[in-house]
Amino acid sequence: MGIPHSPVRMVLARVFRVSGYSELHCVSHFSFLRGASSPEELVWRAHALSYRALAITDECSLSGVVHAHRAAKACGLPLIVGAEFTVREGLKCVVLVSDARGYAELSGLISRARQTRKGHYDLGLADIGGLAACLVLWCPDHSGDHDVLAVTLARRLGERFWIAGTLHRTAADIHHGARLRALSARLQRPIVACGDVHMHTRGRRALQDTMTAIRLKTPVHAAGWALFPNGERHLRDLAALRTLYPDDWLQETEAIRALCQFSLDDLRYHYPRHGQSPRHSLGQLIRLTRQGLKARYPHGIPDSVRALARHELALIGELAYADYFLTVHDLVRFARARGILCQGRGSAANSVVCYALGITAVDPARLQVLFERFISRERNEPPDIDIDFEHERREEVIQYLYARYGRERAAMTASVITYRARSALRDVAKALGCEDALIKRLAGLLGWWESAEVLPERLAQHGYDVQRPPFRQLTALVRELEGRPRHLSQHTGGMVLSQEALTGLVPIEQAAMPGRTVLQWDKDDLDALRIMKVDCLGLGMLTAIRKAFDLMRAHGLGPCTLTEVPPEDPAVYDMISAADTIGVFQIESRAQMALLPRLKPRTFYDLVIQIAIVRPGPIQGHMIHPYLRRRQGREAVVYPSPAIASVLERTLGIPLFQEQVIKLAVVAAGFSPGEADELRRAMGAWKREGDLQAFRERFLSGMRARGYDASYAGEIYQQIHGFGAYGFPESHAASFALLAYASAWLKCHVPDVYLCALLNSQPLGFYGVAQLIADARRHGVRVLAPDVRYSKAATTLERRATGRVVRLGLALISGLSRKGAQRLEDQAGRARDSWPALARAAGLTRRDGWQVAQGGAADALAGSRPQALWQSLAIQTPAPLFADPYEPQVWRRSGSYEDAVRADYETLGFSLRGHPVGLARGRLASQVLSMAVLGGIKPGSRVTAAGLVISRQRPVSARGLLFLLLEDETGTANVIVPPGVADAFRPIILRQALVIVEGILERTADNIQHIRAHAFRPAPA
Amino acid sequence: MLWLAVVLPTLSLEVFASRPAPFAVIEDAVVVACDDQARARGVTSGLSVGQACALCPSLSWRGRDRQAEAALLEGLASLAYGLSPHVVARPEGVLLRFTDQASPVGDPQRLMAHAEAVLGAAQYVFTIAVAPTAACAWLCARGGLRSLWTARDPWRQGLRSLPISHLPLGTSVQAACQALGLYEIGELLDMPRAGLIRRFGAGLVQVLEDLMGERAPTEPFWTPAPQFRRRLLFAFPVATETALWFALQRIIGEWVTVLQARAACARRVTIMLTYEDRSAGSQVLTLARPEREAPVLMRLVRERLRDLRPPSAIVAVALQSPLERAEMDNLPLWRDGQWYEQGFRGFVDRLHARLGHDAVRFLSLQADHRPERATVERPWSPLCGAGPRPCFMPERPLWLLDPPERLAVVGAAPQCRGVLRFLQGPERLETGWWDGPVVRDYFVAINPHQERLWVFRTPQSEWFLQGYFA
Repeated sequence: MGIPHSPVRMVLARVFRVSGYSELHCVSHFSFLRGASSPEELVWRAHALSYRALAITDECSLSGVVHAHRAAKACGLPLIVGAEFTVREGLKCVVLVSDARGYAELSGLISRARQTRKGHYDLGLADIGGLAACLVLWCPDHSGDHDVLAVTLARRLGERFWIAGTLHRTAADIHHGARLRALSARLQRPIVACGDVHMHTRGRRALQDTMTAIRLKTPVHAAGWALFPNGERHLRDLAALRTLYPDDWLQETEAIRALCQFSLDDLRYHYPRHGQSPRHSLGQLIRLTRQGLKARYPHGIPDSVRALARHELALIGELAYADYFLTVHDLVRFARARGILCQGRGSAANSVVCYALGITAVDPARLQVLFERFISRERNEPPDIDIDFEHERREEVIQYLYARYGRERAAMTASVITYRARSALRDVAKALGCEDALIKRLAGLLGWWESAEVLPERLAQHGYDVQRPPFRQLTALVRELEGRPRHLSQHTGGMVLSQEALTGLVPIEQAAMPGRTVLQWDKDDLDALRIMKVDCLGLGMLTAIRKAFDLMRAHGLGPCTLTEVPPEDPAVYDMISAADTIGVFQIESRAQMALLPRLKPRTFYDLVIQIAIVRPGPIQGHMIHPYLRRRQGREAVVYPSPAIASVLERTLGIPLFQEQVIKLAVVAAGFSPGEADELRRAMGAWKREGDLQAFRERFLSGMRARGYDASYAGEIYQQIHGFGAYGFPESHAASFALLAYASAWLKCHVPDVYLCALLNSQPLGFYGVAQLIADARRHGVRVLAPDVRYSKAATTLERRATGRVVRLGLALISGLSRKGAQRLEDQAGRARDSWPALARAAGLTRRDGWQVAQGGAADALAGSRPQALWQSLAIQTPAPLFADPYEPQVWRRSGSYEDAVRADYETLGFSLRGHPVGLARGRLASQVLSMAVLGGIKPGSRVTAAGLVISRQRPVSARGLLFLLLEDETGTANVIVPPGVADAFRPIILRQALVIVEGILERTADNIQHIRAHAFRPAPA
Repeated sequence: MLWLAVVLPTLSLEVFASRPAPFAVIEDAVVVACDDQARARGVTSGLSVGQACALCPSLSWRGRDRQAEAALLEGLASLAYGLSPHVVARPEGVLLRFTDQASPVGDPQRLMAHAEAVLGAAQYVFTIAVAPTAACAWLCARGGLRSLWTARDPWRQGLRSLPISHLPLGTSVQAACQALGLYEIGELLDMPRAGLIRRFGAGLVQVLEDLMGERAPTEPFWTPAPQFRRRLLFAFPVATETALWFALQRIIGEWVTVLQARAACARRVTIMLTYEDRSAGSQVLTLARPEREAPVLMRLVRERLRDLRPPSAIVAVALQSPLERAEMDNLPLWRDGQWYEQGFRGFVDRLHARLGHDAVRFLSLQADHRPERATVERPWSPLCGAGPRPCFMPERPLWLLDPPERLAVVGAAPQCRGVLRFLQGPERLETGWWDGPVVRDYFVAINPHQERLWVFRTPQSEWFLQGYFA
């Protein structure tokens, strides 16, 4: 809409067609809570509007440029890289990159500005003035306060300085236009048309206003002038721009576009060099591989392995990845030297070279390795090696990398934290002015895993009218906000290392964690620009296994390393097959335990399958039941061709691993290995990109051409479809299976050692301390309560004449400070005559003393728990100047057994003395059964049981069913609560710790039993 | 000495007159009270709103209204004041002190029955107890015991068996007692006091001493809110303003003396008139600034009564005004601006007095892009005028039409007493999607009568006149 009665201008514009337009000032949603569109949306829209180019200029950030680069490359739109800054003095500028030198300069500038508090930046006018290669557009505001500063800036930058002319059809436009022209005359520099774009279309106006309100922490209705008066800050069509801006302003965008010739493809990244030249590095790698293989196969290297190694080294040499392998090898060597247990996971285990270098531990001779899954010529993507380290010592490894390569050459990968439906709901509701209590209630309607799609339905269910404000706007805005970036965080362990300074490549920010720096790009950005990274991940199980081996060594037991663990021990597999796997790595979850008795693993490879099969991919692909039927011999295994048999015979004709999908595409459908890997990746991403159709055609026709009938081809395609990203690679499952076997061996043969190691590596796995201890005690492990006289901070293994016992550590007492526990440990052996004397000697605070007494660790020393508590209360820090006045021994009672058990539960979460249900047993009616006897009861019988509620779960997939785990003094039982029952007995189920359940005992063919609840009662206290 | 404690256990619920069931009162997103239905579903105080909703999805709630609670307690205190001159007001109820001789209704049994009858008639939900110490009575009433102990009873013995959880102790002390296996008050009383002080601080021992009457009570007694109140009965009903004014002058004279004696001033005055036909009327005056000068007050009251048209002759006049602490800012004499301001304020007061408080309003700027919401009328306050301003003040007409006037359109051109010529525009406004969407293009236009107009066009190409520049 222009001035209605001034058509002259329109006609002029049409007659003298001005040249095209490039938008030079545009922020994406990576300017957090400012931009309301993604870089891709902006690029697509700019392309659709026939813009000549688009600059993405997020505020002091390059986080969005790789996204924009990919989209721009796909649609052929030139992308200009830039950033927006508001300097300390108040001046706002857009800095644009014209060439590679300018890019490095801008990246360095952002890195410098970001050396402050996380999420903020600090830059002075002098920093902008000092730019030697970048172009600068000054965005004058209405006040004119900064004009003097701009004069200085213009003088410093000369030809590289422009005045950004931004008009948004506001009341100020006329004054502003005149002011800009005056400034232009004064500074002798041209004005260039800019849009200060915040969204790709006008329709994002509401979201943009909401983001502003969230950013300012105020409701929209109170945000007032902080909101934009209209939606003109979008990518406007050329006709509208031509009516608004003078031609010379528009033409100036062309001039700037012509100057900006930089593309992210011009970036050159080099991995840290280890040799003098790539050839030299390769030579080093070949030598190390040869040495490694000799050590791995002392009885001679198998020919197949030798051939694989040759093949891999050839490809590594061709793609010049030798330095990468040497870097990872160096890292692993460091960890080994420090005694940190580590092991490569994921696709790296497909590499013989990685095995030879000690990066991975799976013997390629035991598996069918597929190097193309790891590195492929077609994919042309850097290899990705993930290494697990002990979770408590991972920081040492990261700091080693910083020290080895220097802070300017090493940094963590970013991870963009995005809005989930629930957080979006909370923020939008706040912005719409909902009161706190309502926000809490609304947020409670969504699970953290749920998307905003279910929100309207949920609201309606709870009686909110989704057609009325604020719920109508709420649902729409939550849907728009979901998935948008909120802030930058660090990736769990991805380190990027480089030969040259990283700041020339990508800006580095300070992370929230001290001693860490983080890049502005995430994992996908790095992949897109082929920048290699090493993932240093933390794995609790490695900590536990290392601690177990340390204990074995200390107690003169064996084995003491992973490689010494005796393979294929039948006793271990017996234990696993009986689903006795609480505390065992990867196969301890409920779903795993349910499958173990059916699959009955007998070999290492069975374990690999067991780990891979309980995954969303195989479950969604309906592969579990066919596999089970075939394994149990209830279904014949037939292969349509020997080629397919060679791929699938290991898994009885069912594709379970990512490698099999790739190989299948090669042998059955004629894909090249690299293409096949692309198929797998497309499947992982099919929901997003939907370009799977071409692959599907190719796959089916390829299979048809090789003589497979259409139905079989369709079946195979269906099985591997939806599997891609959610299935494990075989190599990864095998790496995990090694740890699962080792942990199972420990649990089977030295349960006391294993318990001790697990307790000292918490938090870890599915089960809590209480369940691990209860399980170990059921296996005959003797466990002693924490006692200040003997316990250390950590749980220890004590040697006694009658054998080993586990002495629980003081660290298990909740609320006891780490310092307090350590001081008590340091006092061991001294001051044992009385509890107050010991507490004083250790300098305990009153709170620590109270917690120790409450946890029962001072019972023996003080005589009774109430006495210990009474004495703890008298602790004074600092100790009083005068000796304590004489205090009569006021406590004569020893305290009740029930009180002690209750205090144990409150402080430790368990009690070695007894179980609350056991205490109440005498008061329970005789028909209340103990969990131990349930196993002997006929399925379908009506049973009553009492138990402590250990966990309450309501999985999304279970259609409203609630699962309870009840525990009594004899064992545990699963209870399934149908929705109606859950509703009727809600207060009891949710608030009572001890409940009595009535229901029907059910048992499946695989001997898995549960109680289907009919009614609940609170248990007598 | 005898103490009677009245506790309102459901006070925070009671202040909500109509409540849907199940219902809860919350403060900082935590439940502080709930009704029986909610309790039956497992809701208890101390739960978060989320937890409470999980237990009872149909729960309704309101935020705690402390002001209403205070008002309700104030009412209770003044009711209690009728029973005893010694009333202690606490956040959950009141305590009444009686000396053994001074009970107006005789023995304690009758006293308690009487108190119950009075409170019941006033429709309070309460628990009550009588004991020789304030703390003991309070404890029993809070526990809902309805006990009646006099100094002659073995009340100390009775006290020993009460649970410690009734004592006003912090949660950490309560938890510690429980962990130590202490459940009854007697067990605490048996402990050496020095040991208790060392472990729990002096607070616990003070609570025990209060309970046993070993410490003099320190709480101040409640006094009715200070206010000036005078009522004059006319011997013969008066109908003339002069007669009324004569009486009022006397009252105001007395009032000003009291104000000056108490170093107080007045901000709010109520004048109540009783008429011959037994009807009554009242006039409320609110002042722009606190006053205690006789001429000013007289002038204001007179202004207000000038237009009074009494329905019949007046039999009584009363004046009532809360006494406020005087914070008179003694104005410097030599600053003209201030004097001018005071004159202006006096003028506003007179306007108020004559037209009523709400009739005097000021226009102030509001942070909103929509013209109809960009200004707001507020009752005048001394702070008017100060407020944030936008960085750029666009040109806006002072005279706005509400609602905007639709313009006729002839051949796509809007008309307003002739064809419009556009001077400026368009200025685009798109905002207010949350409570009143506005999507308009504004123009400054001029018509053949040389009127400068502010018009806008909607996306449907309708035209409206919203204001005049001149």
